[in-house]
Amino acid sequence: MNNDKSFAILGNFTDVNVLFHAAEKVRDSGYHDFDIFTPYPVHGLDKAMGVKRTILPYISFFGGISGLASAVLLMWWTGADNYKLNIGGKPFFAVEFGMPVMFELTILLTALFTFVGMWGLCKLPRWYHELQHDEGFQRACDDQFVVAIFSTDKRFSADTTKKLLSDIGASDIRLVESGAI
Amino acid sequence: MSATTAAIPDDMQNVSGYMAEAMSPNEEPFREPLILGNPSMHDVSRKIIDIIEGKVTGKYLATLAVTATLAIWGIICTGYTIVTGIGVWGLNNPVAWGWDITDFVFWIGIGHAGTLISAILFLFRQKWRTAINRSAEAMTIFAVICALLMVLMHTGRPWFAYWLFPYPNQMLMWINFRSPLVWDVFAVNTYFTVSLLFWFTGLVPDFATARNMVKNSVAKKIYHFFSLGWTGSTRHWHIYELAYLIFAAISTPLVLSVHSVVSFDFATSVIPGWHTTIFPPYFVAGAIFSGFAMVMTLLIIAREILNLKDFITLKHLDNMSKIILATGMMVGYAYSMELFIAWYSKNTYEWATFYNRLTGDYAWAYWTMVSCNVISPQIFWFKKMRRTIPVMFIMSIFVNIGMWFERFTIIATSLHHDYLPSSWGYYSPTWVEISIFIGTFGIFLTLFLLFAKFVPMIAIAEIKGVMPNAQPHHHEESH
Amino acid sequence: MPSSVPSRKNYFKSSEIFLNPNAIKNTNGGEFESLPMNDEKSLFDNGVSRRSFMAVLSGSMALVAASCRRPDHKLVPYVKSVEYQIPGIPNYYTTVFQHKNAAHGLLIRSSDGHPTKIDGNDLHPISKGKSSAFAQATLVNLYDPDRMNRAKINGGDSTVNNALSHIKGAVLSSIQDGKSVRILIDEHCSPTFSKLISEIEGKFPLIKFVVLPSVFADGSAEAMLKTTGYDGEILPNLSLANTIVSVDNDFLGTDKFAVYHTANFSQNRKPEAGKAVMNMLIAAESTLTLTGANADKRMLLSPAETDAFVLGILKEIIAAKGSALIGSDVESAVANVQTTPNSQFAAKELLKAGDKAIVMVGAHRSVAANAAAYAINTLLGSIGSGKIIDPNAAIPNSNCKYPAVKELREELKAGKIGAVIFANTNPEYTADRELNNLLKKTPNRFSWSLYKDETASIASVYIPTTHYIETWGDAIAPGGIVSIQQPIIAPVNPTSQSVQELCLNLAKLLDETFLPEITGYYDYLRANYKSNFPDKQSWEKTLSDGIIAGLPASVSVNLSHSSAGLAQALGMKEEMKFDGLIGCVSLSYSLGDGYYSNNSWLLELADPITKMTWDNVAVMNSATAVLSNVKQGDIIAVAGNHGSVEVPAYILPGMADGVVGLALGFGRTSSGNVANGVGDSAYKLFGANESIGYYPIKVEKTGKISVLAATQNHNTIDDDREIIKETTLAELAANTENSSGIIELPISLVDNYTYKGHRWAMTIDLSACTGCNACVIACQSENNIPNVGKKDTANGREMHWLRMDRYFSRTSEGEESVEVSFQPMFCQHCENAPCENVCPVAATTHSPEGLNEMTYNRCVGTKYCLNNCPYKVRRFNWFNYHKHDAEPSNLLYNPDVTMRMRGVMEKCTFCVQRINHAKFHAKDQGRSQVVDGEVVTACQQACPASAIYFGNINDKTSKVVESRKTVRGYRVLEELNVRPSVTYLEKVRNREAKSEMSVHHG
Repeated sequence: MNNDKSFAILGNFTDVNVLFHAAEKVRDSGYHDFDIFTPYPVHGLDKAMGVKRTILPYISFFGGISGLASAVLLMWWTGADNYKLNIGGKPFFAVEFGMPVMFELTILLTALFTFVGMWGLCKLPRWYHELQHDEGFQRACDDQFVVAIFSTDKRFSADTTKKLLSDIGASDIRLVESGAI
Repeated sequence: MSATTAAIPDDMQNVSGYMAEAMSPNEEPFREPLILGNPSMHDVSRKIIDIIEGKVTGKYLATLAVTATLAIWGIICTGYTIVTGIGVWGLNNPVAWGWDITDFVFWIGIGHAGTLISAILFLFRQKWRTAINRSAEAMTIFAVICALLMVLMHTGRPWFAYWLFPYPNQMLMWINFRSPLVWDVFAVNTYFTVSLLFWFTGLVPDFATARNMVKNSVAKKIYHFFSLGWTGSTRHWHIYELAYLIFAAISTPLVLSVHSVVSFDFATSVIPGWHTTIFPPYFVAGAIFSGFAMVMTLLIIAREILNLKDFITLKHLDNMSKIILATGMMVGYAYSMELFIAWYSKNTYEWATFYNRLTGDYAWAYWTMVSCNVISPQIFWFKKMRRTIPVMFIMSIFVNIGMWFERFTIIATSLHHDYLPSSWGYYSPTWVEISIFIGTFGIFLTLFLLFAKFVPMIAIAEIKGVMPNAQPHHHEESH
Repeated sequence: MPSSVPSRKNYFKSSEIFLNPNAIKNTNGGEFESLPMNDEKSLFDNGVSRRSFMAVLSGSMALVAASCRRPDHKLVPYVKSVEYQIPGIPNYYTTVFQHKNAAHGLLIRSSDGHPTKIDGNDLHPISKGKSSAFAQATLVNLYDPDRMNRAKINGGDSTVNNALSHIKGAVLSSIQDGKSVRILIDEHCSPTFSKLISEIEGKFPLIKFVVLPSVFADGSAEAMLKTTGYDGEILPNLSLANTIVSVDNDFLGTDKFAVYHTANFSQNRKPEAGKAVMNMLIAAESTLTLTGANADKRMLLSPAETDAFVLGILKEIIAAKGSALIGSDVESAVANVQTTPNSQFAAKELLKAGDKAIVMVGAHRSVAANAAAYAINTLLGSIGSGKIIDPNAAIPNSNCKYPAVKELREELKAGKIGAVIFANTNPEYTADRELNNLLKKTPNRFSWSLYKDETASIASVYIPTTHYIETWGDAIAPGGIVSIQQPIIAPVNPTSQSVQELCLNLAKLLDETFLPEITGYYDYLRANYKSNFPDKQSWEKTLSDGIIAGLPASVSVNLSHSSAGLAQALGMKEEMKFDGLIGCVSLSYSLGDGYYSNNSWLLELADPITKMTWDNVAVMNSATAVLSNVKQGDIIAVAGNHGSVEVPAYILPGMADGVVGLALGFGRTSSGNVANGVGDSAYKLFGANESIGYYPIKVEKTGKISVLAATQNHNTIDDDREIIKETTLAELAANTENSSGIIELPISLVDNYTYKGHRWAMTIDLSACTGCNACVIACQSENNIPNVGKKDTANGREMHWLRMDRYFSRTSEGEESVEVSFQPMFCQHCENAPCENVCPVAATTHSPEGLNEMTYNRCVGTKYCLNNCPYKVRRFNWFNYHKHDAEPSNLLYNPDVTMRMRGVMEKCTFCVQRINHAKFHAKDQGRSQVVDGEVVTACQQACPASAIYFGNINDKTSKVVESRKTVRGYRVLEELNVRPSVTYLEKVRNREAKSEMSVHHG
């Protein structure tokens, strides 16, 4: 773990197949603290990088359950407990007429939890990124793939890492220093 | 978007399996490409960002001026109604719902295509959706806005419309969960919220692209803000795609539920012509039908004005024509089945209502509906017709007209002759109602034009994902 | 479509369908869309100023003076509260309404000092606690902002005293140069006023009072005069009649005594399976009247056949009973009369009923016909003390009116009249053209009247008169019952005076020695009854009872006839030679003669037969329409020999061929903002000595088309929906199934609520109901229901909570056999109310007492409940209908009922305010339950036919429970399992044959 100002070493790719193997190589050579920035999701790349499965589905599921529960409680408490009204001779609370609202609230809270959960897990929004002014890096939202190995990785060293990148076919390999920009 | 599937956890392998295969880049040779002109990825981004950056054309401004004027006129008439009283409309006893609710159901129906394309077609791995889902979703949101406006306006005291939400109040009153209108409130608002989140989620990566590519510093800042600092990190894509899949998975039942709930407004009542169990599927089919027609109308205009012929190809329109044909026959089936049951049931009131629909004061509306919705779409049996722009354009307009009349027929004819002949009447709209309806079109189109100008109206990232050579070749072996 | 079940009648909502349903079904659009909204009159056209604010102020303060019945008219400010005046608790006072010469005893509710509801006085023999729509609606005129509040001299404002002295001058001068003075008064039945008149006439020989009625109907009085020497009419008591033959006599409709007749008639119209007995009404007429609509057998006569018809009956009766009772020379009078099947049928039924039968001929018809009726009734033995026609029941001031007016006419022609005073008479509007021109020529014309009416505009001096509710007076009813007319409120317009007051004051001005001890008409009244009221208590008792104990003064008349006179009378037939169309002019069901026309309640009250509001229509059958090539809604010019009117055509079945019906009371030009220009005045058709009756006319299309603001439109029941149920007496008698009351359908997904305590319900007896509309106005008055004007009524936005549905049916092909059925329709208070389920904000819910309640201030106005109401009885406030209420008309409203703002739904509440009132009362007395009969809904209270029962069905002894235990009971649309709280009892028509009921119609 060196403590100079270097933040990460970047290398760009243009061919998705090369990139795919590069990802596997970086993973196999023991790096953990690296990332690959792509303009669109590349199949299996996350696996190739060894990204762990996200817990998002559980968050969404919890959202759904709470939506259903809140619907049932709301209808039962307002109708059958807090203020009973004889309306059209129908029961104060019944699943039959409760169904639509139960369903809609389940969906609604699932959606909200998923949305919030997703950005939470991505640690977004985050309107500043150390690499955001790097020309090559910006192409990651256009037509190139950028591999970045961060200096926070314990195997990180300017030379070996650069070498690794050039070995796996990255072009325009460069070191970006934090705060340099 | 299906390119996501490699990231899908194992418990979803069945999904990811076929998705991955669906997204496999080796296109069958006989399949025509989804994008014409074989552009590079940069060209794709460039082309779509150019729509945003490019100069505002006179054609665009002129169109915007017209739609904005209509919108403002509609809003003025709305104000007039609120100030004077809903009596300025033509509604009466027995026809207490007329154009207002007709328009509401019409707009809700329009919205359905968007969610359908972005969610259901996604699950059914229809790659061709990528070119049109963005604008279709936008259309959904704007249509639902119009629908909400109509349903708000139709109340006698709109300033109390918030009473329809369950909140603690000084009256110690709660809402009546037995009422289909309350179901509507939940359904439509859920639908609006979810569609909005879904749409925005899809937009984030493209905002990022825009952020990086636009020159104008103000625009850059705005897109920067909305991109939430998206970088394209694979670790993010991993989460993002799963979220997208979940959205798709919940939107599918949602979209089906929304119009079912809307149809409950009628189906759960006691009025002959309304009290019908066939309504939910019938309404959903109708909604998809009208929705696709509206998408078609807009896209045909968009690909002309914004020159997107390479992205929105005849193949897309062809597929949509097929869906219109299919759903058109579904509603046709519903019409005939309603009629048959009414006759078969030997229920006096039921039959009287339907006989009156066919021959009564509003027969003209009924037959307009039938000819627009059932007869005319049959032309799409011919491939040539499915690929002739003018035909498709006129057809889409027809279908929109027909579907509006379907709602009008259901609402007005059922009400104006119901049980007691002594209370029968006739309803015709006033200029105010008509203006407000035109106004909603103004609002809808204005919003759509603004969207087309300031938001990437084609899902850049998704397009790139389905381009040739976008995905690694040995992807299959990797499993 | 399913062919209708043979044993059922088909009901038609109105004529056009009736004539050709398919034609209607196929019309695109429907009448409203296709017709331009021309001549629309909205209630809100009138810019009423905030005039007479002071009047209101004083009026409401004067409640102390008025309501505590103190004679002095000083205004006492409300400094100390009055012991019996509890704020919020209404007081009830009796008074009497003189509808022409018919006295209707009234009970008036005074809320915090201002009258808010008119009902019948149950102690009064004529009203028996009931009241007509017309009488109730006169309340609107009391608070009418259009009433003048200043006396006028030549158009300029003045004071009453100046105006009177001005009149005095004119009168004196004309007396000096030997010309006489005529005071034209309306028909009345006030003994004290008669006394005053004779005293004034005695004192001033040249001053003479002339009764100038708006319509003349001397036929029956003249027949009486010729045959018995009694110049007047007798009020028959139909409760004793088993068979009634009405010949062009609309005793259930436009008759002054309609309330009395309806009560007596309907009392015998409630047969049960057990005791299947009821009276039979045979109506022979040429226009479709309310009486004809309620007839068991309706005979369509052309006007010219009437005399022959009655004489035919007489001939049959003589043949059966001999002529001993009436003298042989009568036989010769009927010798060469041709009897018809109709007259034979009528005679047969009459003879069956013996002395329990009566023939009633319209008073406006020929002397011969009326005399024949008299002869028939004599032969049948239905005349005599205790019989249907009781000599004691002479109608006061029912003498022939023509002679006096003819004399006046001569005097005017001869120029003998120097000055004429119009006292609550409006000849400029009502009198025939000749009389108008003569009156216009008199040198001095003065007008005392409620409104600054048409006649006031040709008078040099105008003095506003008081409304009868502001006036002291008295009235005598047939049978000699005398009531005191007490003011319930000090004149809303303080400058106004009653006609009697003005006569007295004028007389005193002319000669101060006239009645020196009398200061005002009140003193005069008290003095007149000094003997009857030795002390204050007896006077107060009279005022609280509404009738003077100790009277009747015997008013018995001698009805022994001279055979020769009878024979002579039988000769006095009508000359009826028509070669073209026949115009039939009759009183309007809502407006009467038009005196109270400036009255939105009456103008928006649907005519019971045509269902027309806000307009006068020329009613004709389809044949006539085809003949003169007019269609529904065409505005046609109906030209008589003396004038012409422009009204829309209305096609109605059951009219005689060639007869065109026109109603009076419309076409006011100077009555007020509400009535001015509504319809056209049929008075214009009258020539000298002509009034209601039949005249030759021509019809021409004007090319204009009118929106018919009818509350029911052109639809038909041509399938087997059982909304109206009807049966015959024969069928009812044959019915053996035991009646355990309403059977509740067991079907239900959920358990039904159990209603402990009260459970309110209502029963409507369609057999007793005559469709008189009294309930509609009662409901409107009790529940502050707004009027919406012509345009909105045409668009189906009328607000009446209780509407009177009218259905046509027919017993055989051909429209002359039309029959009419009425069905009061209002909120059915369903236990499983569809409207409640759909309200998103729970603004309409069910009370623990079975009421379907509407919470106005919670309503958002989605109108979903209205859509989902199978009966369409909910009413929506499309606008803020009370925005334009001007002082003092806002005093009209019942403070116990909320005013509804725009955008909220409203509907019948079963008069929940009355229910609560009764419950509070019960609570005060320590009772948990309300006693049966303690709650009386407004409609029930008004209903002259007593066809409405209301009460608590958990109280098994209550009348309403009793009323449901019948085979006739059914509930409209009960197959929907909405479990309505309102039970209808099948209409029964007194018929043998069942077969003739069946009609097939596609």
